[in-house]
Amino acid sequence: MIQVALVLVILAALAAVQTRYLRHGVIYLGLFSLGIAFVYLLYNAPDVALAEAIIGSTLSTVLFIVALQKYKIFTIYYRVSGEDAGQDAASQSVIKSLEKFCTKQELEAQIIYTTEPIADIVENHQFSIIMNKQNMQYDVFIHENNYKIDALKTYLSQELPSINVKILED
Amino acid sequence: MSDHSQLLSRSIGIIYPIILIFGLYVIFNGHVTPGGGFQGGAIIGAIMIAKYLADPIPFLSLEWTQSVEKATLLILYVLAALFCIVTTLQIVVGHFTIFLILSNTLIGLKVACGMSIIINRFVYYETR
Amino acid sequence: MRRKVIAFVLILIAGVILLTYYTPSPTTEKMMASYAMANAEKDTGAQNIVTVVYLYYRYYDTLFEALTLMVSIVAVIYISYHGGGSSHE
Repeated sequence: MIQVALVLVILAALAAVQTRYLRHGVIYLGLFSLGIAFVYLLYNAPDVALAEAIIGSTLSTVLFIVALQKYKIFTIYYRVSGEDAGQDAASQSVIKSLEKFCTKQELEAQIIYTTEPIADIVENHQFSIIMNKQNMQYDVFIHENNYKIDALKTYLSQELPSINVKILED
Repeated sequence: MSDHSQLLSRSIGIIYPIILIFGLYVIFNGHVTPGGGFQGGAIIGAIMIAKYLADPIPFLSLEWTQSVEKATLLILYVLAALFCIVTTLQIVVGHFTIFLILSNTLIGLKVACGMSIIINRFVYYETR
Repeated sequence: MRRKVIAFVLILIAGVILLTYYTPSPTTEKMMASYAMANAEKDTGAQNIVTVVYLYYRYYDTLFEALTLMVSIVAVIYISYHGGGSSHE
């Protein structure tokens, strides 16, 4: 019994360190706390197990998740071409609408104007979404692993139905 | 959480009196069963998290919680001094259970206030 | 150079003091544990020995632990002030 719990604890710890997404790491850390609380219980220390289960598994997990939600930065690459600097009224209203989306989702909007082609941005930069303007038609590119993909689609279909959402694959 | 779900807030509203009763049980039975002031206080502090998940509006004032915490620490020290005097002069012999329950209650109140201060401060005021 | 000499002397003094008072005897700890297990219920009438240890044999430590928790909370409030929200402090 105790061997199974110890192996589970080690696996959870390794997964928490090795994972790609911070959110998954937080969940693995909660799993680690639960496993180690069970181990304490098997070693006849119910007091310590109770404290570990409450503090490690409940309080710190929720606090980490809240912290991740608060400090998330949503990077918007706005691709302008040549003489069009993205300062006209239509572009500004689209950007304002995207900022409203960020505020609603508790994200921090960061807008970067660029003239690079889309393939270069995908290759070289950390981005959340890329906005492209071509002959008065706006396209929004979003990566398939993005967490906000469904929320963005719903929001844009309500607020700005003229924008196409295109999904970038790996 | 800007769009919190009705399901979550309703179910947490049913659950959190039970969490409160469990925390009080852990505190008041600290001298008989595993647990004690610290664990029970942390359970009561976890109610703050449940409250935040249900509807994120601050409802405990920071000033009040902090005053309660400081007063509890003071009472704990006074109780310790009183206990020392009473046992060395042998005015009252026995009755340790009352002392244990009282200390556990004070520690639990103090830890609950501390946890809720940390959670409130972190969740509602920490912006950037 | 002078600061290094001072640091060396301080570390030496600390080492000497720690080594004179350090007695590596697991028997004392074992004695204390068995003492607590034998006498806890007789002394106070409580069944949970852990509570008896931290509220009777080691009450002084508990008081300072509570003080430490309070100091850390004061630090949290002081550091996280810049978000605004309440006028007090």
